[in-house]
Amino acid sequence: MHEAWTFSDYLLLVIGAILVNNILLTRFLGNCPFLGVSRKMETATGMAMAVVFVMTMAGSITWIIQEYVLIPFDLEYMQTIFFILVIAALVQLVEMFLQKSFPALYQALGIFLPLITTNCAVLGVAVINIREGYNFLQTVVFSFASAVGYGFALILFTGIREQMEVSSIPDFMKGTAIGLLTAGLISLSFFGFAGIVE
Amino acid sequence: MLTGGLILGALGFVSALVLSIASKVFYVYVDPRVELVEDSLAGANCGGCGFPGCNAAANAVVAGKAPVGVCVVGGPESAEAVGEIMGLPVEYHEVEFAERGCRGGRFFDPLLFDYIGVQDCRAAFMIAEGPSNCEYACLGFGTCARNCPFDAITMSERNLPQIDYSRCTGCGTCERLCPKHVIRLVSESKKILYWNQLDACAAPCQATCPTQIEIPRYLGFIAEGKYEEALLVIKQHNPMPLSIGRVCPAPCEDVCRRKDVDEAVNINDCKRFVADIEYQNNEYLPVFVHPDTGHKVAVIGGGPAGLTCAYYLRRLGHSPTIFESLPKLGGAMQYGIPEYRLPKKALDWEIQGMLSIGIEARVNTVFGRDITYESLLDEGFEAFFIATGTPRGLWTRTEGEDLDGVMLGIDFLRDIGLGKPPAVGPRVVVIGGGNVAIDVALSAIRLPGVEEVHMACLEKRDEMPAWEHEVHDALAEGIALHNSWGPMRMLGENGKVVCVEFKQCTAVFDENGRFNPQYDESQTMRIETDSVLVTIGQGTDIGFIKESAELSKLELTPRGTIVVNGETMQTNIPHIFASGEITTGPNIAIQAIAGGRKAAWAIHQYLNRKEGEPGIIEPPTNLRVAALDLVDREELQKVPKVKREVMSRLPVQDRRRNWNEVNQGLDEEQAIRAARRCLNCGIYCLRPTYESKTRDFLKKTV
Repeated sequence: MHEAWTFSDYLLLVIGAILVNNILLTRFLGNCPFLGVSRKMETATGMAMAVVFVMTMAGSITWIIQEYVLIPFDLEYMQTIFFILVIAALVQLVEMFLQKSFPALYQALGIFLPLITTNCAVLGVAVINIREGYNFLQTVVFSFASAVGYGFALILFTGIREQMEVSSIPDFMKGTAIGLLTAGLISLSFFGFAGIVE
Repeated sequence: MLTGGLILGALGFVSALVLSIASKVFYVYVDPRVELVEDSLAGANCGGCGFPGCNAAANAVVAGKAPVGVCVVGGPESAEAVGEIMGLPVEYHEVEFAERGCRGGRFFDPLLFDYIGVQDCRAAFMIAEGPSNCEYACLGFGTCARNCPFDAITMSERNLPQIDYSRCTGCGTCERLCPKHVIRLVSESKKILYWNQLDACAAPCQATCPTQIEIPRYLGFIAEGKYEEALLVIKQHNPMPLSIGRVCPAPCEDVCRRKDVDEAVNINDCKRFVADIEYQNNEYLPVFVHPDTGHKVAVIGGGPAGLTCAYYLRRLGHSPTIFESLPKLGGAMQYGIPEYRLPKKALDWEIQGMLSIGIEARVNTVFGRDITYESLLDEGFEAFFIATGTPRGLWTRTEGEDLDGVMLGIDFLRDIGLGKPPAVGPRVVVIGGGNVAIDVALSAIRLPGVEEVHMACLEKRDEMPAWEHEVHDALAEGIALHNSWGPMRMLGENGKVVCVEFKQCTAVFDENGRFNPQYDESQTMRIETDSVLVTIGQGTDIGFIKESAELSKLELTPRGTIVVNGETMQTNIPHIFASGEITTGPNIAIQAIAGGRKAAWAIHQYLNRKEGEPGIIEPPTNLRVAALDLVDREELQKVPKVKREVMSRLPVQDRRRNWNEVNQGLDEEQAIRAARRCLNCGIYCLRPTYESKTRDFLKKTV
């Protein structure tokens, strides 16, 4: 267990999650929607919001499951399957809850909410929380910050792709090809943050 | 291991329980029809309906805020399916497709500046409305092509959007995006109702043609070998290309910009070529006809104006009926233009094709005798179109005109057309110097028993109203032409004409250019003859107007023509329209066709007027009235010279005593060569088939 964390520790955790260890650009998790929904700013922001929502929820719930179900029953080796089950059920529940209670938010998130059930970044963050041995508060903060990092990278990338739509690009590079190249370059630039946080 | 499985199962069970409870607690009623309706829509989320996505459109339909035909992409099938789900009737909605107005594009048009910013039309448009010099030109950055949800648009090598009609659904995304309104949604009805607007990319030919055929477009199709497409382009403006392609004096060719390079393009011959292909295949090309509207329109007179008006009214869904006094339709084209210029078999075939889209024709029906204005009102006709032309020949009013053997040239032509040629000759004198007089003379010389034909007119050779090539033909076929002679009297023996005496005409027009012939009576000439055919002009026959109490309220000119608005062809009685020679006096056939088409436009507006309004039709606004001459003459000098195609004609010696068609038309190779000579002019631009400034720019950029 860690010693008691100060505010600056939490700040470093947030910066680390958003910039240094960006879930998308340095851990390479969740690349499918990164390329899939980055053509339009409108869909990208929708996706980013949905990820923030689901990732924070999923990170917290899985931590509780780990702490109060898996460890007491010595079932750590079944972590993955448990987490998948819980995340899937959680997303369904959240969707129903939103539709009833916050129809506007439900409309805004739209199709992206059920889509990210299968996003590996969500599962990845849940697993990292456990592996790093975070307590509940740290888990919540880290999950939220990771999701913000994800949304940040996605929106950044979408902006560049929208710009590319109207630039003259050689025919053979059009579409996914230049998209992957750009993603690689952004990723490289994010590696420049390495070392800021331990 | 067992514990793990059990706990996992238990957790799964708990989750399922929670979810099933939640689904009850958080249950939201969704109208099941929304989902059904959404399934019936195209699902492209294109926004063509004006709603953000198909789901929103489906919600709007279920909420009653959108019609069942909301989905433009899904078309009639979607509308029917939605109508069935909602239990609502389906209203007809005509399909629209994207169409590009600009023919030139940015590389044909001298550019104002080099633009190197964001490669998007909307961005380029923000800087002085783009680098293009022409305010109506396509900017060519392909915004429409990139954003088409159905991939129906590609940019051609000339950097113009090309629309793939097998993919275009008419969603309108391109129309909404194009900052210069180059791409628009157009339905077949809109094409029929279109008259050149100020922003039309109208070449001089297209702006000059009375009926505004898109000439460069159809020539472009012919050059590519797409003859059916070419014919359909023509038929949007002129339903009678087979006949007009033979008789039109082609005012379009007079203004062809190619004349500044070498000679005009064979525009009319190309039109005849594609129409001849349809005729030779003996199969009418299917054309769009709007579903029935139930409006009945009476068309009085079955000449080119009446036929055209009825044709376009029918294609707009109305039910016109043509009333014709003679046994066959066609008017002056049937009974005025001789067989050797326009074979009646071809004309009849063409008219049959026009009628086959659902036009009723009652021939041998004289207006004012067999039917009247009142009887047609009783039959339920809502609007009238009068196009009875100028069927009455004018006399010279000289002494002896009542003798046997003197007749009107126009009656002579009509009798030949009716299949009972009058006995004339062996010597014939034709009085008159117009085109009809030449038709009369050349018809007379074809009749058996006619030995010699003289033609006498007041005008000098170079003043004759007949076209030069017609006069040339007449001389070649052995007509004796006597210029500057006016008839003084006709002498007879036993009541039959034997001789015409002429006096010398010294001047036909006075200083003001008015017709006012002066004679020198000391100079006379006699021509011995057996028949005299007077062909000095034609007038309207308005007896039927004067006999009807209601129609006699029509405003007339002193010449006996009906006064109409020049754009709407509406008379002073709102539901009566008129055009053709009864409004203009003797004129060319294409003018009658243009009048018929204009009247169809106005009658359509009249029939669709708001309930209770008198229906005085305002002319369309923003019309382009004249051809612009803004092209760079220097550019024209760089165009390589190519000779105009010459149509093969029947040799003069083969024309005697038969009615075989003289003009043989262009063959396929000739037609393609002729069409390729078209410069594809727009308002300012030309096709760069030669080195030019714009060409240099093209090399620099790409």
